[in-house]
Amino acid sequence: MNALTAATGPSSAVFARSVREGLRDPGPALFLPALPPLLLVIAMTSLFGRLNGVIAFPTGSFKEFFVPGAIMIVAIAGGGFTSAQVAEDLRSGFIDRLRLQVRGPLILLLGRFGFEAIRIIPGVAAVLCVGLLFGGALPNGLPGALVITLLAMLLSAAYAGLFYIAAIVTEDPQTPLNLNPVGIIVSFLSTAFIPRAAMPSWADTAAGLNPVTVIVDGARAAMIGDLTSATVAAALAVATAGVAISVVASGAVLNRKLSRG
Amino acid sequence: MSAAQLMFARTATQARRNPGVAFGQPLIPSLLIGTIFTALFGAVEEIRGFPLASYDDWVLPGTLFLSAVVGAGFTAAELLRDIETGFIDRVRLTPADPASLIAGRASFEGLRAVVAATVILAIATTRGLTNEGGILGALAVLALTAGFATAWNGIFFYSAITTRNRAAVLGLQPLFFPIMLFSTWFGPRFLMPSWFEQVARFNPVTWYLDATRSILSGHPDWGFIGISVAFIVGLAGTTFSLSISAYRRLAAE
Repeated sequence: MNALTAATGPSSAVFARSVREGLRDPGPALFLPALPPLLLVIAMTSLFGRLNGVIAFPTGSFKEFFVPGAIMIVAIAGGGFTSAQVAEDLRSGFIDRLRLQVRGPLILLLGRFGFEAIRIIPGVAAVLCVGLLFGGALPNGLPGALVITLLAMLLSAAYAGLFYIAAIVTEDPQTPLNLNPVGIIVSFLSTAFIPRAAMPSWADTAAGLNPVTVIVDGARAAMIGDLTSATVAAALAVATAGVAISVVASGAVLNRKLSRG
Repeated sequence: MSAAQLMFARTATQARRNPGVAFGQPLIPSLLIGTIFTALFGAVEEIRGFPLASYDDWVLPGTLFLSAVVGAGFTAAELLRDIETGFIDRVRLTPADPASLIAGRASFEGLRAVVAATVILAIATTRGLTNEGGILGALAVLALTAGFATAWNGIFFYSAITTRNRAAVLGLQPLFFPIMLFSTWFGPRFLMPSWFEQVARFNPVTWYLDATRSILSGHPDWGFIGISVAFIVGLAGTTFSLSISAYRRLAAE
C-alpha cells in the first residue's frame, strides 16, 4: 500500500494541480476546445446537407457522417493546454522539487496526461448534444456515447504528448501553442469531414497514414454502427497505443532533460 | 522621412529578422486550409445551381481573406514591445505625432497581406483560376485585401495599447473564425437555410468575399464593393481613432 501511494502520490498531486489550474481558468481549459467543432457542426451541417446527392456517405447523410468527426476534433482543438504549465514547471524548478519524491520522471507527467484526458469531457458532451440537434444520430444510445467519449479522451491524451515534448525541449510556454495549426491538418486529412472514397488520391493516401482516421472511423461505428465491431476495437487499440507512445516518448525526453541538469 | 515612414521602416527591419512570423504566418496556413478544403469539398461544385465554374474559384477569395486575418497582431505585438522596452518614452521626446507612428506600424500589416495574397493569387493562376478581371481586377482584389488586413489589425492595436498584455492581444487571433464560418466562405447562399442566410447577408466577411468574387468574375458588383470598402473604412476609422486616443493617454502618463 505504501509502495502504491509512493508511486501514485506525485502523479495525483500533479493531476490535482492541473485540475486546480483548469478550474482557475476554465475558458481555455474546458470550453475553448469545444468552440471550433461546435461552430463547425452548426455551420457545416446547415450548409452541406445537399452533399448527400453528390458524395456517397456510408452513413447515408453528411450530417450523420460529420458529427462523430466533429466530436473527435474536440480532442485536437486547443490541444496540449497543460503543456504551457509543463514548461513553466520546468522553468520554475517545480519538477526538480518533485523529482526528490519519485524514481522515474515519467510519473511527473502522468497527472498532466490524466487531466488532458478528462478536461475535454464537457466539450465532447456539448458537441454531441448540438450535433444531435443538427441532424446527427445516436442509435447506439448511452453505450455508444460512452465509447465515443472514451475515444476522445484517449486521443486528447495521445495528442498532448506532442505538445509536452515541445514544452520540455524548449521550456517556453509559448512554443507548444504554435503547434496548434498541426491540428487543422491532422483533422482535415482524416475521415472527420468526408469519406476517403471522395478524397483526391493524395489526400486519401495521407488519410490512410493518419492514425486519427482509424480513431474517427471507430467513433463513427460506436455512434451509429456496430458497437462490437473490429472498427471500434481497432480505434480503441490505436488510441491506447497512441497514449502509450506519447507517455513513453515525453517521459524519455523529460528524463534526458533532467539528467543533463 | 516622416515619422510614419520611419516606423514602417523599423517594422520592416523587425519583420526581416523574423520572416517566418511576419510573412509565413499569413501565407502558409491560408494556403494549406484553402488547398485541403477545396480538395475535400470539391464535390460542392457538382450540386445543381452552383454558380461558378469550380469550387476552387469559390474558395479562392476565402483563402485571400485568410491571408488578411491569420497571423494578425504582428505589428501590434511589436508596438507592445516598444511600450515594454521604453522606446515609446524616447519617442515622446520627439515632435512625432502618435497617429503617424501607429499609421507607420499599421500600414505594414497591409504589406504583409499583399505579399501573402500575391503568392496565393500566383499559385491559383498556375492552377487555372478564373480571373476575368485581368491585372486590374487582381490589383483591386489585393487592395481590398490589404485594406481589410489593416482595418482588422486596428482591433489588435487597440487591445495592445489598452491591455498591454501580449497574451490578450494574441488571444484575439481566432476572432475571425466564427465570423468566417457564417459567411459565404464555404458555399453560396442557395445552400443555406434561411437563418444562416440572414446571418451571412449582414456579415462583413460575406461583403468582402462577394466583392472579390465579383471582381474576379469580370462583373464587379459595385454594391458589394462599396459596402465592403465602407466597412473597411468604418472599422479602421473606429479602431485607429480609439487606438490613437489610448496611445495619447499612455504617452501622457
